Amino acid sequence: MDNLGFIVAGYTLTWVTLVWYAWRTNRRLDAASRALDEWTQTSAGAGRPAGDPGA
Amino acid sequence: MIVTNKSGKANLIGIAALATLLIGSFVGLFVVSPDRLQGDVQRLMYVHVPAAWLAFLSFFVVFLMSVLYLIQRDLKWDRVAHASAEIGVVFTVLTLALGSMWGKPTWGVWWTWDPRLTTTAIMLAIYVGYLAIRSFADDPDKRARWAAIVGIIGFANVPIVYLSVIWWRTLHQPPSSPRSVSPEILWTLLFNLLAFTLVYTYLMMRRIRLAKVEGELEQRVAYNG
Repeated sequence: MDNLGFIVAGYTLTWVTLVWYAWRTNRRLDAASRALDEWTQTSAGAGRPAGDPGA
Repeated sequence: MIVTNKSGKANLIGIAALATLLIGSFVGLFVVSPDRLQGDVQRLMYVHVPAAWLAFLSFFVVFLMSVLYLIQRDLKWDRVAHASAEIGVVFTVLTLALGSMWGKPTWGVWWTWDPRLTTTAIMLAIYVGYLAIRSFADDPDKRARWAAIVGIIGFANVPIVYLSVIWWRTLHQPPSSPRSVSPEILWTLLFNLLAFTLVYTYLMMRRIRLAKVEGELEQRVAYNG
């Protein structure tokens, strides 16, 4: 296979980029979901309305 | 808890995306014959072209959702636009990097100020700007309004990127058609396009969910202090 280095680099970059972005998004989602759960529990404990802020 | 049926659906699409991407990469690398003129390096087309198409699709979704937001003033459209812009930026960076890796062995240079490359770089700058402008406003409605305006005006560059190889004399090849490529190249390209579309769908589902959770958190902090 000619230009093997460019081909391998291109496919590796594609995979690494897409997997990294998916991993990063899932990590951010987990962290945000956890923060929301904690906020809901803390708010309920402090007697604040835990549900819809407009309620 | 946020994890629901939607998470299960996203995971299924994620698995399908991973499987099709694996098969598409394998076929693109080892099964399909090399190009008659360019040789093996043309195999980069099976990742470069789908990445570019998905960047276009992402920014079309940003445009559409921005219009919907301005009409209905519903933040759910802004969340979709935001998610699609971020994913579009990832695909655009990938397109430029892969194009550069293909350009070096075929053109002899990593980068040239060719109309296709230049307009693509401008497209990247516009959507990085779209993401940056969102951090300037604390109020979600104001932020969504500013972003929607950039999302609509910025989209004007997307057809220019596509048509640049037709309008101007460029080093970049013009768009291929099913009549100008062999069926095996065409089907491999279409399969990889399907894989990238599934990847986009999966990423969108997760990224929209993230925007929704972050929005709820922001709203609660703002109301409850």
